[in-house]
Amino acid sequence: MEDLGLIAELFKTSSTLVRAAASLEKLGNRKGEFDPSEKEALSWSGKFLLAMDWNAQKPSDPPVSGGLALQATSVRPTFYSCLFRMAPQIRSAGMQSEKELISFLINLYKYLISPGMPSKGSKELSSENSKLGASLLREIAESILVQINNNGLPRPFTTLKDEWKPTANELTPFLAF
Amino acid sequence: MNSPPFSPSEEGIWNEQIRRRELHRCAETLVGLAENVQLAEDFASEAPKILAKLIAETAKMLADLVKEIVPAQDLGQINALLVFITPHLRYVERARVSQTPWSIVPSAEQLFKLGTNSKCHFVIRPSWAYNYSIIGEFVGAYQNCLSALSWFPIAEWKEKVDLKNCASIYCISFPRIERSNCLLHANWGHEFGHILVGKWVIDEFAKAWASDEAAIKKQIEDHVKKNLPRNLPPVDSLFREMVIQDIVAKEMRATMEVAQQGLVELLCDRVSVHIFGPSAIAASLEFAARFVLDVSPLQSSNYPPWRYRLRKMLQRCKSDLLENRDTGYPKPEINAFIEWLRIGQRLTEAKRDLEVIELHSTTKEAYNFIDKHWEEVAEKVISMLPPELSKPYLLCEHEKAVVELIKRLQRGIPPNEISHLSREPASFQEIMSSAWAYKMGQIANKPSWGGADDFGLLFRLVLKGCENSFVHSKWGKEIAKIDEHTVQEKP
Repeated sequence: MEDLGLIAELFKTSSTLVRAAASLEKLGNRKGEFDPSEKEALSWSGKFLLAMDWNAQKPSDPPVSGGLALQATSVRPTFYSCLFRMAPQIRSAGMQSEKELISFLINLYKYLISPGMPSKGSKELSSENSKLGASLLREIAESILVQINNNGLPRPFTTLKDEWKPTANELTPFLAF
Repeated sequence: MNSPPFSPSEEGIWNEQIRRRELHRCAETLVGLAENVQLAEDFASEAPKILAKLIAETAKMLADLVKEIVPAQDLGQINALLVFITPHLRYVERARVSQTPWSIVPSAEQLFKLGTNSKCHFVIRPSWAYNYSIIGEFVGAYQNCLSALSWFPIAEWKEKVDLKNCASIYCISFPRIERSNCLLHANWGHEFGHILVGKWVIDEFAKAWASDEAAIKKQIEDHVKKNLPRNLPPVDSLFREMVIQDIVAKEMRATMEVAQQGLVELLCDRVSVHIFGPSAIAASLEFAARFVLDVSPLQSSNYPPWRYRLRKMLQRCKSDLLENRDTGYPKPEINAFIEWLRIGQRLTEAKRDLEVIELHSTTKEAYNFIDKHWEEVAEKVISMLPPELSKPYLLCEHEKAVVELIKRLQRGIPPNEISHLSREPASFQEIMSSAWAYKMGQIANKPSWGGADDFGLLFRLVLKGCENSFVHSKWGKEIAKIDEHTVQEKP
């Protein structure tokens, strides 16, 4: 079945991430408070990113609900691709190691889940980190939209599938050598 | 002269101006197309017009809003939405009377509505691709998309599309080249199954997946780590662990997709056999015979191998394939059909499909998941059918009626009623069973049977039978009253 429900879910995810990115940018530019709809979008985005990122999850965390687990499994490879594409921006923000990146991401999720109310152990997001977080949300949102509409390009009529390398041809951060 | 590059805000303004103007124009054009198609075309049911109205009303509201109200940041979303809904108009255009087996459409729709509800609509249209499919559900998908846009007046939209009388719309496709081959349209039972199974997926698959996810991840992670190439190219220091997680994430997604799609297709087969009995298996057997039986799900858009599907379907029809000396089942009229199905059973004795599944960790894990949940899930999905369809259709229980209908076909009469005097219209399933049994009987007993004229006659009789039976079941009581009245009036 061509599942229109799935496309609608992806559209909804993308729209919510766009709204959250715009709100986070507002924070980066120090422009005003969040309204309830912005808070809702930020909080949902934080929970969604947390469900996707295995590094941020602790064994003691409550289990992720079924629907979110399914969505997270679908979008997780997109999440990693987006991070890999953003390597230059991540470096410009001063992060040089994976440890620093993971720590930034964990802090970002905590902030998103309770926007405007820093939770225990989390730091206020700096203006620069807010913008970086907003870029990540926008990058994921756009990648999802591209998957829905193929960015205005025709879809290949037929693709030869190599069953042994389902992950082939996707961007991975191996350095050119 | 070189101009300086645009700043991000200048680029944003340039982008916004074009998007607002062009998206407004496209949305208005879509409104015109969707309204015209409602007026100009002739359809076998109301469903295509209802879908056209949904598209027109949605586009009309977007056209009005995109001029000013839509925030600039959401214009990309509006583009995606228009790109998404515009092609749906082709389903309406292709559902014209001249394109469909119109005489069978009302019977099929009646059966599908029985299995869902009367506010569910089905657009039936041909596709040039050689396959059966279902697309949907339109109303829910539109509503879900639109409700994600905080500025969209969703309550007003619900009123305009008349949501009270239009709970859902699906589009069922069949291969154009098989338009009149109504026997093969028993495959619609599978497509109908998608509606029930879709509900189960929303409610239950996610829970089942969430409960097994950690164990599946462990298996895949071990497999990935064990099979990493020894000479990995250098990795960016920012992502040393994430590179492995990325590979595991892709394998996990592939496994989930294979498991979900596999389970869904097998469940739809189960629903199809439940509703149509051996006709569903016969349609699948003839369809599958044209293709490779043991293709890995990874090579075939995550569909289970045909042999795997046929085996599961045949398991549900065991009692129809057995002889019963007490009742004399099967009667000579259907014997050839049963024999032909038994050959199908021998086909599934081979296990090459299972070997293909075992070969790859993704399919192996996915089918372990399917095996673990199969019995419980299948029972749950069948229990979702309404009481009228809760009992499985067994040929052995309908043998008498089916034999009557076969005899009509043998005499060149449409198989629309069990007996002329009983005023009992034949059911859609009984007509299908008689058609398959007649076809297999002719093939087995008359070596020269099978030309275009033979098939043409059979298809016309069956289509006519479906049409007459539908008219009979819908207006039979009123016709009977008129008949009685006429008899009484006679001196």
